[in-house]
Amino acid sequence: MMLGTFVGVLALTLVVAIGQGTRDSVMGNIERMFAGNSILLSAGGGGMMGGPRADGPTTTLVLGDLEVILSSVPGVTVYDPMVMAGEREVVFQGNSSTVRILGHSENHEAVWGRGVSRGSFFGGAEVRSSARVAVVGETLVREVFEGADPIGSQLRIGTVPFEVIGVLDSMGIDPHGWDRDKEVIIPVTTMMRRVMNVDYIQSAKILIAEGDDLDAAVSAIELLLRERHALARDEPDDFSMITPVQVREMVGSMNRIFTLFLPLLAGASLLIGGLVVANLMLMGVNERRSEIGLRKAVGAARKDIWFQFLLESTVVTVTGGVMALLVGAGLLAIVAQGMEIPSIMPWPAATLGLLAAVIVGLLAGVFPARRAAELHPVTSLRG
Amino acid sequence: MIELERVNKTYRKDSEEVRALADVSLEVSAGEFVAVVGPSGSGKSTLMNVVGLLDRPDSGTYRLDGGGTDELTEDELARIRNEKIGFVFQTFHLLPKTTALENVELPLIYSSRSDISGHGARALQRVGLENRANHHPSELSGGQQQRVAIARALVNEPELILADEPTGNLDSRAGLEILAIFQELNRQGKTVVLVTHDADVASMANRVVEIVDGRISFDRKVESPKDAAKELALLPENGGQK
Repeated sequence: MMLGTFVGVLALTLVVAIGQGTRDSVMGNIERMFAGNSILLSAGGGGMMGGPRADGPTTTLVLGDLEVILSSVPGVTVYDPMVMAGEREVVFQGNSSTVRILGHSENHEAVWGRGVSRGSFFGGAEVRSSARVAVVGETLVREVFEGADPIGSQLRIGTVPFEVIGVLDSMGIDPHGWDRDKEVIIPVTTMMRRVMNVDYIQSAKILIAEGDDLDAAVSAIELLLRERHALARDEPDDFSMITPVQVREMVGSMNRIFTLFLPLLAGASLLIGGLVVANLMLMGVNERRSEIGLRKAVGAARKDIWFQFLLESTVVTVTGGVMALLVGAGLLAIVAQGMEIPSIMPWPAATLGLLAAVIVGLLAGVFPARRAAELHPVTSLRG
Repeated sequence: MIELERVNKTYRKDSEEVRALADVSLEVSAGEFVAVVGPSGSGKSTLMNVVGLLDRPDSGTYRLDGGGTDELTEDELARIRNEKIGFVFQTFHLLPKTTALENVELPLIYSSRSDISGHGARALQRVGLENRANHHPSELSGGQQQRVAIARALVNEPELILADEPTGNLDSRAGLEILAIFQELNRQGKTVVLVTHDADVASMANRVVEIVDGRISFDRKVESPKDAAKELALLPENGGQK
């Protein structure tokens, strides 16, 4: 009988906790990527960045666009372009590995919040001169440099030799599953001229001053780029922009699923548990007829019988609920570790679950209690 | 103590109407020991239920210890049962998962009295079972279980003891022990009304009332009631202890 509430409260607690943990983890990453007032500008139309294009990469977004955006769109404070070469082979003294190479500007840390833990990042001069310098992630330090200090060493990227000048701040695995420490960042100009031999960029992150109108900036940038790319009025944008506001709205709907639907599901199982309790108690009333009759004979008033049965049903459900919380806390710790999400006991939800257990217990006991209290002592004592 | 006046009670049984009590009038004074006899289905159990305030008559009046009962609510009746009446049943009706002492103390739960400590132990003493206080009913013989039931009936010091075939499930030795206790309680001033179909049991009372087909057919004082304690002493030593 206790099992029903136990399962219900356990499900509620775990589901809410895992849901919140996952959401917090995802939100945390998103907050980092889209902190503050910023715009992610990507080459190619069609909304989301990084989608495959049927007719090859869009080549119309250039560094010059960004320079003009900085000088003419009000509110823009700084930008950082990005050109990414997928898996490329890097070699150091016989050790090789296949890693992602990213081309960024000297504003990388200001815009993305990731700097170096050792050595230094490259500056404007290196970007202007397309210098062959590189900043590597911790995984490379471990795998390619075998733990030795890589600063000053020569790392060959493809066929081009680079000097390592810094080690990137560690970031671990991101929600996509990529190892962010298995990256090499080089100046975007060097990437374009020496590694990939292109004259266009793929994306850029643009920061807008705090308090400035983000939508106005987005509109201004759109107008500017359409003009610079000579797009006719009926031609779609050959670029796309996304702001944190849009991302949050997307996540928000995901969030709604977590916060509404799943607890609803758990609540349903709680209810079913309550129905089981009610049913079993009702059966019990039948079997305990002579006990009830006896209690009435020795002086139990109706309210005494009511109290007895309501207490019994509530104790059952609450005990089930408390056990569920204890087991749930234990399970949560194990699951959260496996899923690498924060393990925070959702006390509001858990308390709500316990409260629900009490209410379900009371409700489940009402019908049996009434049955028992109305039992005529004569009929229940005979025999 | 008991004043029944023209009491009627009818039951529906499988769409048939059964007249359990027809115009029954009966008076029992305090301190009497009455045996109610009659064939099965005669209405004696119904009479006990009405006297014990477990059932209400369809018509007629019932005054218990000078007070009218017809206008009382269910809860008020429960209160009176708790304070004035002690029940003893043929099948003992002890709670199986509780100790003897806890069984005896059951009526105290529903009592509104405040000084109730020790009453349970004292009641067990009166029936000679104080050293069995922590036993469960399954660990007690039939006679011992019935004695626990009597202790329970006594715990609130009621004036009236109602017993429905109290020796029906007991062997002759245990039965006599129980009857000896009833006689002792009666000597101490308690009113005892006992239903039985056994003439030997009825001979222990000082008044016999017979009910046949819902009516009192016979109501007579017993000249010299048998003494249960003496009968007990006369039993052979190995006379069946259950």
